[in-house]
Amino acid sequence: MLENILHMLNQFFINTGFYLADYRQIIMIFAGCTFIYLGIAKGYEPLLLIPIGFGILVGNIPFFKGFGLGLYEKGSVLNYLYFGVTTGIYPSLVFLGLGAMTDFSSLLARPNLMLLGAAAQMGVFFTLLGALALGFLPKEAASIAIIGGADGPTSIFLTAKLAPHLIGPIAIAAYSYMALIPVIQPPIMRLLTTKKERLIRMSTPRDVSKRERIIFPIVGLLLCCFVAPTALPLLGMLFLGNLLKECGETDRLAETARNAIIDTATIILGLTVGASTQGDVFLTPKSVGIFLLGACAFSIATASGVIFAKIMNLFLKEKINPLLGAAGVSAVPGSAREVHLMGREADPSNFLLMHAMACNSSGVIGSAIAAGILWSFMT
Amino acid sequence: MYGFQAISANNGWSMAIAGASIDFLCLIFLSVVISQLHKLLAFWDSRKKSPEQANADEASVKANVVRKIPTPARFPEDIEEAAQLYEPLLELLDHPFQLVDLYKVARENDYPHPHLTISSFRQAGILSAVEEGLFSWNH
Repeated sequence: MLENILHMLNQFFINTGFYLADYRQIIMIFAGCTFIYLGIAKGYEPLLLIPIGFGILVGNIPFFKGFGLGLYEKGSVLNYLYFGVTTGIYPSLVFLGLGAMTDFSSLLARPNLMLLGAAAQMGVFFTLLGALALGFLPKEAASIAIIGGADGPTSIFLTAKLAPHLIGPIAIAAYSYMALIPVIQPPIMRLLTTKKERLIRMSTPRDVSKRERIIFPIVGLLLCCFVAPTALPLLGMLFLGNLLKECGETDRLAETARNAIIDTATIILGLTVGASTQGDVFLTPKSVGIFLLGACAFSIATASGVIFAKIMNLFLKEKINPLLGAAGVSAVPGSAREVHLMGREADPSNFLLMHAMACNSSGVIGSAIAAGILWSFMT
Repeated sequence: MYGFQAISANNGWSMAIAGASIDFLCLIFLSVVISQLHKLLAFWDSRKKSPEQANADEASVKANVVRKIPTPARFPEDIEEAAQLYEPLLELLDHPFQLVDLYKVARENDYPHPHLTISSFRQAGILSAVEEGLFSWNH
């Protein structure tokens, strides 16, 4: 009997995480804890980093393969939840909520700032070249390039369509760089602008009527999706959310979209993306390449926006503050906040936030279009 | 295959140039259209109206508009000046108040960009939280 008990205890022990753990899972668990720490203690994008960090812990609990527990095992709960990632459902729902939160009036008041959103997408296309040069396959390169848009849901959406095996590293890279905006963007902005340029004040934008705000999502959808129909799953939801917000007749729906829907989608998206980073799948030389290229993509995107703003100033009678170019990436509202803070650092009474939000929201549209373009090139 | 050879073999140059151009053109197109939107709406409103009708409509609209607070003719860039313009609105609220109530009165009185302005007030410390969900005005 004692022998039986010892045998059972032995069997139990060899199925525990302590026995099955390998060094890659330990590294990833450490990374997950770092994400949670950064989210809670440092306040870096907590809504994203905490679910992702916890997901990394969940995904790297060692278990005996075949129990139907893992994210990549068919029929497991995590596998069902992950379905929403691989099919692009969660990113679309996040865009619905984002649309219901976004006030496009500053963009409508000053449409030329939309060009800064386009300029920042140069990071995407430069990185496409970089990824191809490093030997990535075209579909993988396109998925890595979209990190330059600085938009987590867009990166996940495109990667799910083109290179699903890279969702983990690409999503983690995209969200990490979004969380690191306060570290990455300020040195680039400081390097590329003079003190005099940072002091430029933007004039007061004109008032935007309710009718303009209602018509914009409809016109935006039609124009953008006629040009790049593959951007429809993201832009369709973004503009629908915005129409629900602006029309004044669907406040309940807008409220649900910007609270319950986006929160639910963010939690499940973060958890499953985090859980997809199982040590044996995630810790590969490709992931290192993706992280390096992601950093370049994000930096080039920031620099392109700032440089383009300076070029625009050569032709504009009324100069724009070139810091706004850095908000052309679609990390809403992190990069707009960073631009605003840097503007205030130069002149505490200069409030750039609403102008930066205009660039930021055009960056969201620009990166969704870029994703659509890359998807159509690859299919 | 690596480097320029890999880029050329996978049509990288063409994809990057075409992709960037399409993205740019799409946003330029959208910005041109939205920059004309308010003019198109003004044109639409003025169609088929005789000058007398237009004047009568304008007068009737003016008569029907009841404002508690006049909308500022020019909204200032400086946060201190903006705060002064918001002070009449605060008289309509209980103290401390919820931000959503301040947003509502600002919107009802056609103050531009109330959401962003209120965010700026919070950052500047003009609005500060006193208890859960309630704020006070420190200007």
